Amino acid sequence: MKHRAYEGMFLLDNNAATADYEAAARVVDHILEKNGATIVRKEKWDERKLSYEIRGHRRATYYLVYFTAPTGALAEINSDTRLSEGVVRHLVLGLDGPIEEHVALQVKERELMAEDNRKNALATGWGEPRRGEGGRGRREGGDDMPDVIEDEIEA
Amino acid sequence: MPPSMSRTRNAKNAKNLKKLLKKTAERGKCRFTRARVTGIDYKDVATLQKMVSAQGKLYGRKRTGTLSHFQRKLKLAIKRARYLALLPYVAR
Repeated sequence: MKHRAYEGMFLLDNNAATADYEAAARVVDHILEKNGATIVRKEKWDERKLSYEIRGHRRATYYLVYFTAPTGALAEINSDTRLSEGVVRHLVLGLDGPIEEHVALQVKERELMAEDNRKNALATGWGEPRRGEGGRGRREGGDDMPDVIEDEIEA
Repeated sequence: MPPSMSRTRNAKNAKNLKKLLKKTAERGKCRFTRARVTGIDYKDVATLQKMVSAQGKLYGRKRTGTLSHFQRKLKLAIKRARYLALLPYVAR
């Protein structure tokens, strides 16, 4: 059967995930592998507060998995995940193009995010670099306007 | 004013005007076009949060200047983020 690339986001029960993250993640890995999927990349995306309560859960651990699976296996994966108690909610999306591209993109995004966090931490430490930059930008725009108008008057 | 001088001035004006128009056009463009993004990801919560009101409703294109192509991608990304409780359906 033809294989296709997928991206799956699984919201793990936070009580189980904080106690033993590996075991909680293994529940998902097991479901995927049981249905013939090959995991290419898995990561703990975040541990955060949910925007709304889901079946009594206020927090969850977001587990992101990139995998390839036979095209017919998705229905089984979805139903198995829905029945498992360790997963609060999940979303599996099909990816277009080779999975390596998507994985590389995700890795790059994580690096950029880490860089942004580092910069923001530095910026807040140094006072107000952002406001200063904004001010320069506005002044540049302001200088351009009269230039044109003056020339027009002379002409 | 000699005609030659006027011509150079006009040329300069045209150049300045072109520059100004280009700048204002760049400023008026949709934020996703400016950033040259290819897609909008549901995991990029910081960006999605800027495109919804405090109540959690998606802002219209006329308010944000988003191109219709990106507005449709944004809609899908926000709906996915809501399903995974990254964004609220309704914020109180």
